Amino acid sequence: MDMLVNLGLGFATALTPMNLLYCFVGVFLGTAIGVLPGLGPVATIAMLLPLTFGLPPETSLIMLAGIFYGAQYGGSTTAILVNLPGETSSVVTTLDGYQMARKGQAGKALATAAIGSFIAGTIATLVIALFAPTLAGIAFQFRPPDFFSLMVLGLIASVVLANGSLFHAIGMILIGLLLGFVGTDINSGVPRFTFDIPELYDGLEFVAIAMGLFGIGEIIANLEQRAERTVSLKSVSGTLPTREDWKRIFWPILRGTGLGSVLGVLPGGGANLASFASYAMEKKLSRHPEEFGKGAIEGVAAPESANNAGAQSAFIPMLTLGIPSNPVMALMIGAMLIQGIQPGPTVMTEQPALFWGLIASMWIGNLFLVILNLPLIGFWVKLVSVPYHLLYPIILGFCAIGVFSVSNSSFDVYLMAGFGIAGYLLRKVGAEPAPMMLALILGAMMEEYLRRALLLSRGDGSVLLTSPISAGILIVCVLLVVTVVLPAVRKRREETFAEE
Amino acid sequence: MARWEMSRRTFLGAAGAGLVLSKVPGAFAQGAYPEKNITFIVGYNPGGTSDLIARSFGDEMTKETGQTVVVDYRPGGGGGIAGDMVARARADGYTLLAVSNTFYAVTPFLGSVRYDPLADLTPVGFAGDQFNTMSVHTSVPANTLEELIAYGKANPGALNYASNGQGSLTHLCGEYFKQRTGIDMTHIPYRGAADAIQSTLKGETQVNFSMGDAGYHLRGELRGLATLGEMRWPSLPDVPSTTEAGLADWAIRSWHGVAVPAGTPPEICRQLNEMMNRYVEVPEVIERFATLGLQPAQQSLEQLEERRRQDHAVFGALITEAGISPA
Repeated sequence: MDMLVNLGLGFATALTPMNLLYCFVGVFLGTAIGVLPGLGPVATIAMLLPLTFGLPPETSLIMLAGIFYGAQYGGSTTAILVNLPGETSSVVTTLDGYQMARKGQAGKALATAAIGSFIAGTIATLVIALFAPTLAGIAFQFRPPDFFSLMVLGLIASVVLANGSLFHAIGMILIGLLLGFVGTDINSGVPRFTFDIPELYDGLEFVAIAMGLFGIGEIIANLEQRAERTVSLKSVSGTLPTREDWKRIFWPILRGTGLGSVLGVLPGGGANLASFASYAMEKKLSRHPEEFGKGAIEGVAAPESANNAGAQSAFIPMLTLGIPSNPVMALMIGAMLIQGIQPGPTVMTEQPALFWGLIASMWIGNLFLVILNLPLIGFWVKLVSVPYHLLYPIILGFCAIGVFSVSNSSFDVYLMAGFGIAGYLLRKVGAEPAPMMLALILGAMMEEYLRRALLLSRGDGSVLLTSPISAGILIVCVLLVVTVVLPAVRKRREETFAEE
Repeated sequence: MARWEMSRRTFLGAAGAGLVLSKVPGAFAQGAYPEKNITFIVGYNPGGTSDLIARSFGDEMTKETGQTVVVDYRPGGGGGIAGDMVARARADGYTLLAVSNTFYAVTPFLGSVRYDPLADLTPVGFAGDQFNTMSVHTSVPANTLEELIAYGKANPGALNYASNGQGSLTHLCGEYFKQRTGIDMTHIPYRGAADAIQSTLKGETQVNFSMGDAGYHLRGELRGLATLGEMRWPSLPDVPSTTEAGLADWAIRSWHGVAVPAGTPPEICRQLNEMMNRYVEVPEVIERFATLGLQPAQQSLEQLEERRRQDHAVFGALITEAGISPA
């Protein structure tokens, strides 16, 4: 019953005209940047962050969240229609979505993506409403050693789940942790790796690094491929899913939602991983796996549901523990701090309208997206068919403005440029930069919590094992590591990821 | 972007005010300060105390002079980046800095700032003294400062105190308290006041120096033992000041104001000082500052100079003696 009262409060907040308007603005912008390769939600949210200062806190977060999950939608539209994933999380959708479009079933593929996302969004909203209060209750019990162990789990999980070489994933994590050391040591005040550059005293700006690695890196990679971007779009007709189709997509949508909700909660999981994993799972479970890659409707339904569910459940650790699981969530924490709200378990009790309003707005935003997506398809396709040589300078410009606006520092713009080149090179050697980003975000926090735990225990390291929560999490870490190291599992892991 | 939006909003107001003023002959003589836009630098992100002070004073300046005041955020290095920037800016009165005494008495001892805390960044305006209250977790068996000191002495190692970060004013308060009373407490740094307060609410730390919100004491979540300084905090009338609680001449204080680059013409400094001293009497400004726990007051240029020298000397000695400085 509590949940109904809470959701009632949430909808009352989310349905005010102003919040509805900003929710719409958020999902619309999100769809647009989802369509464009190179300009992701990190750049967009960073740019809009200072603007949100004048807005009430709930309105600001509703809009920023809309950008994030709206981007998942936009990414799939272009993935299906023109074989161009605007976001990493919709890479898998190109496999079958584009094939469906070539067979003249573009309309059906888009409708399936929209319906799957909407169902996933609805269920994920309920999942958050059900579990977030419980989790926040547990979070109150968390002490510094527990937080530290939880972050260790996040990093290990991101290695285990990263696609591609294990060696690369571990390497990326270590580099990320090292980059996290830059700045003033919070316990002694000693500057580390700052080379007397004042801009480095507060550490590396992760927005600049994220935009360099993902945004600029992707633009350079795109420029290298002389891919024809001639968009030959047959009219988006095709029927809505038939009764037969519904039978085929019903379980994939639910399984995708379940998998996405779980993976989204894990630090480093989120939408990307969810879409890859659910595609692989459906292919395994399907009675006709040979159709996958040739336009199987399940191959659109499952990953699209999974990435949307993952995008939403990624809010859970941020809202309940104050721990960001990806760069976007780290920015959301920044948005809360600007408003004077300290992220963590108290948000739910001290700011119930904000907390539940944000959750309710996600459902409303998903509804907007379904309504918005179909009539605007022509518009989005036009946006993609703008020649890339005109598009990329604009995107570069927006990235530079976005980075600069975070702390009005031109140093950060250079930092972004440097990491753009690094991102391109990492792509070349086949190393995925996502674990590095996570390690950078979590690394500084991990060190802070570990040292705080040791200060409070007067230097006794065994607190990590004597605190029951911490010990439990560390056992899970060990189990995870064992599963990766075991030869049998390792082989299967490689097979699973090799398929993509 | 915030600054653009801000400047546009203030610009519209300014444009209106300018129209009116231009019709009042002799309201501002030709060449009188200020005759163009003023940049107000804030060394932190939007939303903090410095930001609200800069915007309150900026709005009042725009109302009075018709000139646009652009608030520009340059966060980083504990304010050091903004301090260095303003120290190098043209000393013409068109670049202002929202300062607190940490710019003079803390950051120069801890970070690597290029400005000279006693020569550069002339303080010209005063916003107010900030009330801070020392509080304890409700499980601590002490209802007065005296009882806490006795408890700390009887149970060495039992007390942790939370600070807003290494080298923050709250850290100085903790070390100063240890120095004055001789009790043993372990310093646990957090990232900012909100985290520090949370840790004491949870009982992870027992003592806290960053209670700027009276609500915690009034709701019984934390127990306020003393407000730091001579005066009681009007929001917490039942909590004694440190002076009343038996710890006279508490030296670690927190105040905020406005500074300009050294070498700014004395008449402009005087004019700015008069302006700020008028603004701290404006009811809306008093009200807004009160929400920050600031007690606005008028201060002359000489009083401000005295404040910076005194804090520089006292805080500097404490930082060296307590080993707070990394070097």
